[in-house]
Amino acid sequence: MINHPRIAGGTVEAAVSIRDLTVAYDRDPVLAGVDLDLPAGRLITVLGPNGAGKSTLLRVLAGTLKPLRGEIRINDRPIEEERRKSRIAYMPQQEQLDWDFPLSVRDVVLSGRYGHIRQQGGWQRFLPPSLIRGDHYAAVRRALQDTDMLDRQHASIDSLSGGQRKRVLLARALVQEADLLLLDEPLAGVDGASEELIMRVLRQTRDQGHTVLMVTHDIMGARKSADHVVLINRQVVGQGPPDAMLADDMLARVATINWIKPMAEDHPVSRCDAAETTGQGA
Amino acid sequence: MSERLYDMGVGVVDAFIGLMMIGVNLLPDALAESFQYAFMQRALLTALVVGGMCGLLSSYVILKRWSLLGDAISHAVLPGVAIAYLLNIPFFIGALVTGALTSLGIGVIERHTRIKADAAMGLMFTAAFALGIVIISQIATSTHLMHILFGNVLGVRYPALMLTLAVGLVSLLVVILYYKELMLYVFDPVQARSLGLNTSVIHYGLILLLTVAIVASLETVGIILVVAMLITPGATAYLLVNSLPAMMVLASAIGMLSAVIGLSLAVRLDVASGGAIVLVVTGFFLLAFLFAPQRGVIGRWLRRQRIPRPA
Repeated sequence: MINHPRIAGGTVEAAVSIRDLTVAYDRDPVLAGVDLDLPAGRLITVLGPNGAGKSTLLRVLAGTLKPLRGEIRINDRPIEEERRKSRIAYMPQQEQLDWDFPLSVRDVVLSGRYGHIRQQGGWQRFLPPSLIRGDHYAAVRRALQDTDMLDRQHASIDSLSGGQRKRVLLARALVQEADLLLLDEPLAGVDGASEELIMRVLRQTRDQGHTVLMVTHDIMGARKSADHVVLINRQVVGQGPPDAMLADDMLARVATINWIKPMAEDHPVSRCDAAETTGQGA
Repeated sequence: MSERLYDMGVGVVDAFIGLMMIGVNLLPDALAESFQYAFMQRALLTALVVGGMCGLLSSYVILKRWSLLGDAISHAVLPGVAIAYLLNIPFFIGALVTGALTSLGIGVIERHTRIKADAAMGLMFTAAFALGIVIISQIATSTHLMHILFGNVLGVRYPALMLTLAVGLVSLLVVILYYKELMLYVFDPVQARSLGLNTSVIHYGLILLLTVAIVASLETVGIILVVAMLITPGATAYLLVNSLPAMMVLASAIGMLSAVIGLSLAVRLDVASGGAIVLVVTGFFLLAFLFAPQRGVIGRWLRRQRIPRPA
């Protein structure tokens, strides 16, 4: 049975509450008037074809992309405030980073605590990372242990395999001990063992009461692991338990929106995307 | 500047020169004897501070891939110097203003058009440089222009040296106190943003540091060659070590060492000091390129030879 640590008055409080979110890069909005309430303390998977706005949604939540309009509240507080207090953790796709950077695994994981260290204030926020001790030190050790990277902690990050890079980024997100964990394709390109480890850690994080929100286009993975599925394609197509959402007719619907609309508007690029995703679903 | 403050500044500079000379006297006589004269000692202190400061910042320039931006800012400083000369204000202020305006302009073009960063930089800095050349051709002699472009470290006076020293100490302090923020921003700006850091402040703060370092280097290596000091020490250290603090310390040391060797070569051979310093630092890079244990060409070739052939 799933934990619901935030049950108040019999209803589950919304971890993420989005109203009228519209995001546009150039002309056509990637997300158009999205309204979405997500339950707290669950393992939530956002699923949709390429170009459906999944990563965009995540980047807006992480604060790196400014929406055209819309309001987002996290645990019923303004998102900016939650971000400043380090209550939102974000795990990017590893391609976004330069792995030739002269840092060790530990350096990277510890950087997940920089927000906490700043909030503590005082002269200690100016200390170099090598002198950081206390809670931060313990949290880093735990995160390294959970992701099975403790024995590689002093390794330079350029020596890591793809799966290990994912695990380092996961550890950096875990170490924040954030209420909301955002993950961009956490299982893309990892081997079976790493995939199993990552999913085990995510379930454990959820069981501790955190909300885990991951974006993927891997339908099989979502079916196995998610408590709650959101289908998205520029708008919310539906949300609910995996069995209902991952039924063939729902998947057909989420892919078809992209399929029909671009035909009418003569937009060949999106059409290819939709075709590719339908292929994956079959 | 009030007289008392000026005297204090002279005192501080002289104290630093005294400290430096203790070190210089430990050097082999052949190297140390060039630094007997007061003007040579001032030149050496300037060169050391500039070498150390640029070396320190060069780690960020390398890792953030900002080499072209450094080049752009250094050229954009020229019209500021010219305008300051025209208005009779400290050239430092003019240079800072046009350097900062140019980096803002680059950002505006990049964000609001489809022009990419490299073209935006090339466009802005050549325009600023052209403006500088036009103004200077009206007001100053060509010797003056040559000094700005290529430096004149042997003519450094107390006010300029005080400024360089102050700027060097402030950058060192900022880099130490905000090490974590700067490292996170350079490695992963998205993560920095999601931790609630104000990335615009860090971004423009880092650009400001670079601009200030460039302005302070005007007299030592000149605006054409300063970019070498912002790239080569960092690039050399990047081939040699695997941790960011070590890279920054090593790059700083390489910058300072090149400044000393380059300066004494310049005096001995009677050649331009800026060029000599840059050639020395390039020499260090070549050594690392060939002989770095992990990433040097020779080391890698040797390791490949040791891989056994399949039987």
